[in-house]
Amino acid sequence: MIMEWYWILFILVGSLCVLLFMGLPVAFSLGFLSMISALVFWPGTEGLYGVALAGYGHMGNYTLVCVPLFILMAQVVMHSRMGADTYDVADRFLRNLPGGLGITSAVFGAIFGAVCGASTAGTATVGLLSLPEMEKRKYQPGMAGAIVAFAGALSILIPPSVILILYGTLANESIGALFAGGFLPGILMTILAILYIAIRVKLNPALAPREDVRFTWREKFTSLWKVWALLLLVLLLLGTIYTGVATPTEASAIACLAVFVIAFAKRTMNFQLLRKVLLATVKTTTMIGWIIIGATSFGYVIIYSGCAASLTDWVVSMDVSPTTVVVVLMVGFIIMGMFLDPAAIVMMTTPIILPILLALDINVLWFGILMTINMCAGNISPPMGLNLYIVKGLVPAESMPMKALFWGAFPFMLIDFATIALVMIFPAIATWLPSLVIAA
Amino acid sequence: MERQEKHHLASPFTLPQFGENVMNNGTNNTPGGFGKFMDVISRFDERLAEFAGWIVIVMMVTISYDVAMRYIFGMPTTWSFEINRYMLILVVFFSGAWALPAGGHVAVDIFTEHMERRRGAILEIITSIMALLYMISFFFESTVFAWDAWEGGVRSTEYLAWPLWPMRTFLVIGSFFLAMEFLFRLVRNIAILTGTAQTESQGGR
Repeated sequence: MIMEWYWILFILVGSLCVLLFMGLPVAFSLGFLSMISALVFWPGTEGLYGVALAGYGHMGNYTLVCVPLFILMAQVVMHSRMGADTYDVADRFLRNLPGGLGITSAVFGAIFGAVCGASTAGTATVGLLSLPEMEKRKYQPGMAGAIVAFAGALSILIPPSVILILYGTLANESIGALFAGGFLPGILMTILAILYIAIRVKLNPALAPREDVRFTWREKFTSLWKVWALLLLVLLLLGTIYTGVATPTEASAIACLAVFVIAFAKRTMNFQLLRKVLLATVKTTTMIGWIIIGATSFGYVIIYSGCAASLTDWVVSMDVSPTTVVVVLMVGFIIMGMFLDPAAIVMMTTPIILPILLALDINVLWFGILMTINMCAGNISPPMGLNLYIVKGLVPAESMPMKALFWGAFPFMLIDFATIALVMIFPAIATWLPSLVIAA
Repeated sequence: MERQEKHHLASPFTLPQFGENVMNNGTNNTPGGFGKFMDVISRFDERLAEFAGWIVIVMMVTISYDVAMRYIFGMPTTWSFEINRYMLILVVFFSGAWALPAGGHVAVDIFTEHMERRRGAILEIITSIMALLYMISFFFESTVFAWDAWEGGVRSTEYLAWPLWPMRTFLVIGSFFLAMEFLFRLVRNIAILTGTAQTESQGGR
């Protein structure tokens, strides 16, 4: 090797940043850079073949088949009355709390997260239902928008989760165990958000004017039957996975079929809408698919150039505690989260990080959950928090200035960081449920 | 133009989009027969994506059928596991080209978003050439890959033992049309730069 590995790594990462900031889509930035590296590292055009086709091998993974199915399911649920009905029930129970509509949105995001695995669909669903209400009640726009972005991000932490699936296929970790691991941190994050909203509104009631509408207990409980469809889905999805009846991929297909049956029965689905839903589904699927292709090629280059192994050796030889390594990685993820899509971050970094995790005996499942919580923060962190842009796209431009949204999102990022810290200090929050699943 | 509006309907939210300034102009600004060619290919790309969408439905049905057969009749299918993986590859490669003008491929647009029109066009020309080179290389390598399977009669090592060349041809088709879309992006931006594109339809930018 002519050049030291750290220079190679530095040049690769540096060029990647330049390509990304030039506005070349993430997947093709990774692919182009891998192509150039292949020409540099291998004699002639020999390397191009392996680099171009590295992604094809990874895509043959059966587990990935559930990605389009989970996306399709989320799309159908989004366009059906299921979301609205559940939102309505949550609203009846929570509206009288300080910042009630905001709390409703957060709780609804968590519930909806149990049938939705992608933060874009999660955010759009929460936002379409709750933003008009919050606007009507004169909620401070930045705070209202940030709550929606936060609640939408819960979709990738609370199972099912496309991010955890991608991580699981790369890290060879059981998808069922990973799903179980995301559950408690997701609930913890929701509780922290509820506390924050309630305290903030108590201190400054102008942020979220109080409702005087009161629902009687009778009204509250008689509304409960409306959540049956969503509840059935959760049972079907998680129930089949954890009783061992079906693999996550099979569960995603069955639940998806069930959603279609419910949507057609409720007459919320028609041919025109189905076409839109299908196009939206393949749009996200191909985006993730091409990121897998680009990132696998990039991983191929990093591994075959010897960078990954040298990096692992270097980290191990530094004799630092695993905790320090995890903290450094978390800070790195926070920075990457500001600019990049979570799917891209997971696909790009996991092949490089995994050898380090294994060498230092760090729990791979626990780390995956920490990473996913971090991605939730990345989804709402300026300047490139995807969820914030989705929220912005849902309302008229002038009613929600980006700056207000950024400031509103900041406390929610802190909540995500607090969750990361708690899961680091008490790893059982992430590992306890999976240990039960594996034991059973 | 109408086609683009449909895309916005396809997702109820707008994501930060790569090359939105080009999108606002549509394809009809490029003069001559090439503009028409671009329209035809783009419409075909949308058909391919829609077809991929129906394949997702097929995936849903076949996997559910497999589970039902296993639990009700105790005889799972022999083919579901294998063909669903092939279908996933089809979905990714058949919808990739359409997703580009539809804004599906996420990009970091923090610097390009508020860029002056001509400068933005120059940058998009550079990035389009890069992506085009990558897609040409991908197209070439996947053609070799598919050809090897055709000539050598490569079959899957699993139960079905199907010939693998059709699956590998998905890569060829996908990269070909994606390369085309990048070429169109290049042409559109050159049109902006040379001033052949009408400036009044610039939209909000």
